[in-house]
Amino acid sequence: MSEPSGASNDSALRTLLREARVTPELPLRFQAAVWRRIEQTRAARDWLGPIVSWLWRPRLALAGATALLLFGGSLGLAEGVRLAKENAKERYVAAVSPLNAGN
Amino acid sequence: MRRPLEILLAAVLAGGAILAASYLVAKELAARHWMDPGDDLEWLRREFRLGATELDRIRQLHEGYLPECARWCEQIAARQAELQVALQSATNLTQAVQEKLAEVGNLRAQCQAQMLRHFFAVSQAMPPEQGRRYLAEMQRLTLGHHERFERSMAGSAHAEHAHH
Repeated sequence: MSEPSGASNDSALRTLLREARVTPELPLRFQAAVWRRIEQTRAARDWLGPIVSWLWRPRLALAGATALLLFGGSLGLAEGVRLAKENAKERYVAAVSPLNAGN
Repeated sequence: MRRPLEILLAAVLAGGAILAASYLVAKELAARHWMDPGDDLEWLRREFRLGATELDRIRQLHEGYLPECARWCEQIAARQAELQVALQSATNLTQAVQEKLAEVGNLRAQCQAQMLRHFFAVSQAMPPEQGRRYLAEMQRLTLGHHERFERSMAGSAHAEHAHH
């Protein structure tokens, strides 16, 4: 007795649920808050900008490159001289003391 | 300035490349050109700040010593070859092997004595302070190796005895 009635109730409930679309109300100034968040994120990402634009000046870049060139050159020169000395010393010792060659 | 991070990274990489390139080029140039690679005595000249007269005298000594040194080396090599032959046919420490070992040792000692005579002669051709430094350095470089080896052997032998 109750089955046909129950089935029609289900169908009515389903129709009612389909039609009843809840549209929640956005909080006050929701859009403004979203834009504020976006701006904050951009600002946080752009903290490097001022530093890079300060560094990105031809004079400063040239001075930095020259300093690196001189520093690297000095280190290389010192190491090269040390190697040359070492080789020359080994050459002399090998010449006068073949018994020690290869030690 | 749309991509500051990329620009900063590029600048760091470029800086690293400049540093590495200047280091490698300077090292290579200095290693090649700082000393004359064809002269055995270049190290002596630079290290002991020798003048032309001192260097000429030392060059004479050096050129006189090299053929003597080569003769000693030939004799040692010949005795060592004989020792190898004696060892190949031996199953035990034979009298012949012992004699060859003694001969090699004796020749080495004479060769070292000759070498020390040469070092003394060279040191005397230098200014006194440099001569002392030269002698000390040459003794360290030529005799020091054997001393270090013997000392390390003696050390390990003591440790062995201590264990027993």
